[in-house]
Amino acid sequence: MEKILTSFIDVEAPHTIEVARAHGVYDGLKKSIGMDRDELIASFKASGLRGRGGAGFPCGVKMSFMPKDPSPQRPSYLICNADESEPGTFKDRVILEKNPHLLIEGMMISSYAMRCSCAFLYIRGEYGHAARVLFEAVEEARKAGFVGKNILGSGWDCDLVVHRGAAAYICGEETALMDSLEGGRGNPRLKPPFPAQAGLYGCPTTINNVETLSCLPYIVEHGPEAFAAIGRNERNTGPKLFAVSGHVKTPGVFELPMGIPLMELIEDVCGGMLRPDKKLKAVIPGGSSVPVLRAEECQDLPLDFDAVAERGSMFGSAAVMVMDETTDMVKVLARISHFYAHESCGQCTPCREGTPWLEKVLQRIARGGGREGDLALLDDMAARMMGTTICPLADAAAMPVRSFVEKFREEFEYYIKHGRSMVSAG
Amino acid sequence: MPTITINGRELTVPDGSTVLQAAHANGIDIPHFCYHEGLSVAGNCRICLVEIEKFPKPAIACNTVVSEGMVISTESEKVQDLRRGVMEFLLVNHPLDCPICDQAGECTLQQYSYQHGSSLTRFEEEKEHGPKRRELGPHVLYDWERCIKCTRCIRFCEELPGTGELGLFLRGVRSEIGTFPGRPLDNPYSGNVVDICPVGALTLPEFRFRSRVWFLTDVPSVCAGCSRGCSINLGVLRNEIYRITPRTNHAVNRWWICDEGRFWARKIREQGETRLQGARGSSDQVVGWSAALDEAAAVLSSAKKRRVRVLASPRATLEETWLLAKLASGPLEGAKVHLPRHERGEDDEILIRKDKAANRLGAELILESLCGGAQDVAELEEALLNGEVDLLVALGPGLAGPVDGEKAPLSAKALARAGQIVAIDAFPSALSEAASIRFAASSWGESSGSVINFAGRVQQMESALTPQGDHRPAYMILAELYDRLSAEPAPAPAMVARSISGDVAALAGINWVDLPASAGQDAEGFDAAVQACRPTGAAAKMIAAGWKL
Ligand SMILES: Cc1cc2nc3c(=O)[nH]c(=O)nc-3n(C[C@H](O)[C@H](O)[C@H](O)COP(=O)(O)O)c2cc1C
Ligand code: SF4
Ligand code: SF4
Ligand code: SF4
Repeated sequence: MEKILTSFIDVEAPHTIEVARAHGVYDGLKKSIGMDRDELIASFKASGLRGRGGAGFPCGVKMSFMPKDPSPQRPSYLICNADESEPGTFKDRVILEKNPHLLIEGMMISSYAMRCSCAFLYIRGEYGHAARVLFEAVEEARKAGFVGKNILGSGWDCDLVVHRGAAAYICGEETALMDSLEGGRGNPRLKPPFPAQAGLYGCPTTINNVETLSCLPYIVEHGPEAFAAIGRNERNTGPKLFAVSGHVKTPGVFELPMGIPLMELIEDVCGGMLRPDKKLKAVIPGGSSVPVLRAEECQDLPLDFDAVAERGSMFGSAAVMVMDETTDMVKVLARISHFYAHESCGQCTPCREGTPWLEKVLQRIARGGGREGDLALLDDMAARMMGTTICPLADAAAMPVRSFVEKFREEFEYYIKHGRSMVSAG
Repeated sequence: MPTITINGRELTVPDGSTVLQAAHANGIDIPHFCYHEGLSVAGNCRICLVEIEKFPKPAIACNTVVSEGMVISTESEKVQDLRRGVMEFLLVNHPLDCPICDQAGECTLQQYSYQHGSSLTRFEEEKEHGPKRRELGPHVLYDWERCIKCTRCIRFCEELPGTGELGLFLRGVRSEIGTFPGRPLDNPYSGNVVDICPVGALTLPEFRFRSRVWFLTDVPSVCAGCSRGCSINLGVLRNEIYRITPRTNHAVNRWWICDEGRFWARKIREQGETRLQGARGSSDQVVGWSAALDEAAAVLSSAKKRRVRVLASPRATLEETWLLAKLASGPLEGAKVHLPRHERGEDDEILIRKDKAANRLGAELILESLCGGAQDVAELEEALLNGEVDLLVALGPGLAGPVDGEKAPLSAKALARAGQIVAIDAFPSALSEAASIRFAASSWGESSGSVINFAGRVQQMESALTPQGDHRPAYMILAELYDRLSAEPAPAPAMVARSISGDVAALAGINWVDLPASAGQDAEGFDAAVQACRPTGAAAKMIAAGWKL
């Protein structure tokens, strides 16, 4: 497949505007300025592009929620979500560090289509190098007339502000991100109102993932059909960045067509299992919050939104975590639960109290203090956290618990019965 | 007006109501911790989850606006199970120190545990521990372990005083309510956070560990602090006011009171030793109440031949003022009547008024009807200085509490030049110092009566305490004088109200019998009455300016 998002990241200084422009970056912006905005949005809809931040919401549809006549008193805003903090997820970083101008181009195209007067890029605090690259890239783009006043002589003004977060996973949730961007504590907001009605500073706002926005230039330049031709079917289109980690020979970020089979990704793209004599045990296909898959569920599984959902998990951020048979699933889950307990913002009762409770029970089991009834308790507690909170973090904490306990029940039971791991016991 | 169905009951409710408002308006209880009528919606406690047909998952009643045909279930198996779940989560890290918690007995967490919780816990881990006594400000202590992070206290400070001292710090289960460096919780309304905290996480140092709430009797009263006249409850035990809490009254103070009012009883208690005691005649030969009253009556009955002034008080009740006005227009006929001002600071557009007297409008209405109006004290001061006053009959400025630090309406110099002064007061002032005959009155909280606030709201207060020292309710002292000076006896205080309604047109329609139980009642056409009392219309303007809630 022709690479779209990472086509020139291996050349010298890909992050500079000269190199980027030599590779055609900003041609899409030039083409889109002057185009009818509603037609642009229609073409994004036609491309089938779905959000790459996790939920897979159709990008063009989201754009169409924005007002067609924003007033100076209530301007429209675009936010690019570069908070990338879900364990296992490190795909956006490649774009941020190596191809920032593609992202800026995508943001400006989106801003133009939605009549925004300012775009914000919220980047996780730990991405220091990426932030420095972006600060520079935005200045380059401003000098070149792609950002700021009277963009490309069109009379349209749109600034781009890069804002660094302060290291909280919850600030990747879209409304918490807005609170944080406004200078407040990053707590998810109640919905309604939805961001397109009242988002950043109470104004209409659309928020998209880094990768989502980086797809837009290609759609403008080559048309929605060319984009939709990539992928498995019309609901799962385009190129996709896969962040593969765990027990494979060559982990990393790979740009591949949507729908690539999971085993092909592991065997062919990532060079197979890290230790060839160890068998595949499990895969988390979309970041730490999605249900785990057992090895046999990984066979014949195209990696895209619908296929993974049909298999009972979620495509999420396409962070593929591969675990071989030496993995202690109880400890993995205890570690994942620690993350969510640590990152819960603490507003909602079930999440604030449930996430650390889950962790405490799991840590106790992992320490050898498991009790009869623990597994039923874990499952029931997780069930009570799902669908009962302001944002989906509680679900994100609950889903792995339910799936790990269900799919690797024998390992948990062994721990409870013997006070130690089935895996290390060989 | 959409029509909705809650638990099979069809209801028509106002546009834009939330499910929770619609349910509560129709007597259907939906439990809630973080929701408070007077604050914005936070939606974080999750106990108000209900089932709504066609909704993919349970929705919070506090933030879901009703729409036509909505079918809601607040008591289904599923909803009850959700509540049990939230209650279990809330108690996971809760210290359960109810036996030593001030909130016990009026704690929402206790109540919902009883109504919606389970008697068993499945939590067997170590609870989170944290600070149990952190000063947020001079009036409020914070117990981290009891806090359920409902953020009511934060929203209150942001939304009512607008001071925003409180914030949520840290994250997840370690979240805590705190203040910002150098900015303690210190605003004129800070005590309200203790009232609205649904649990015992916020406490008042002055009430902490002093009594179980169920031993307190709430006596309905009216704050004497300013002309807002907030509706309050006096929490009384063994003849002592342990705490003052707001009594919800949408016509006056909504759910709130200010800190000055909240600590009014403490001020009276702390300055108890300075209180006036007994009746004092003009010489050592006059001993005891009867003798002093006889002497005062004799002085008053000689008034006809002399230059007499009467000083009323905007801090006296309607009943007391009525009786004083009866004296002024009967035995003391011809005397000029004056009404002082007790002003401090500014009106704050929330509750606090600069007029630090609870019954100015009431006094003005009565004096207008019975005495042809009252004058300011400036002219009286002048007349005193010129030696033009033979007798001054006065209700003092200290009737409702200590007056230290307050500007005296009449200077000591002027008072010294009065021929004779007969004064009734509770706390010492220049007036009681200068009085030749002086009677110690019971103070606020110790007597009953009615007051009219700046906006024309008539309210009654019950006496909460049995007077302990050697003093009598001002009404009784006035009645004793009245009895000695007129043909018929003074009516009992409870009966005065009707006479007042007969005398004062603006009060003709007041239903006195129902008043104590209700939230008070508006004086009829009080705008006109106010205009009549104050040609400048200043009060009318104050009322029109309203207050911001
Ligand atoms: C707890 C939580 C964390 C999230 N973190 C991220 C993130 O780091 N990056 C991201 O793009 N989306 C994140 N999301 C999803 C965003 O809320 C939002 O759906 C997304 O940015 C929308 O962009 P898209 O439509 O392009 O996918 C997170 C969601 C939740 C609930
Ligand atoms: S679900 Fe958790 S992270 Fe999300 S708003 Fe509620 S407490 Fe915060
Ligand atoms: S807050 Fe309520 S439940 Fe908690 S200790 Fe106090 S009375 Fe008991
Ligand atoms: S202190 Fe009380 S009011 Fe404030 S968040 Fe905690 S429980 Fe709520």
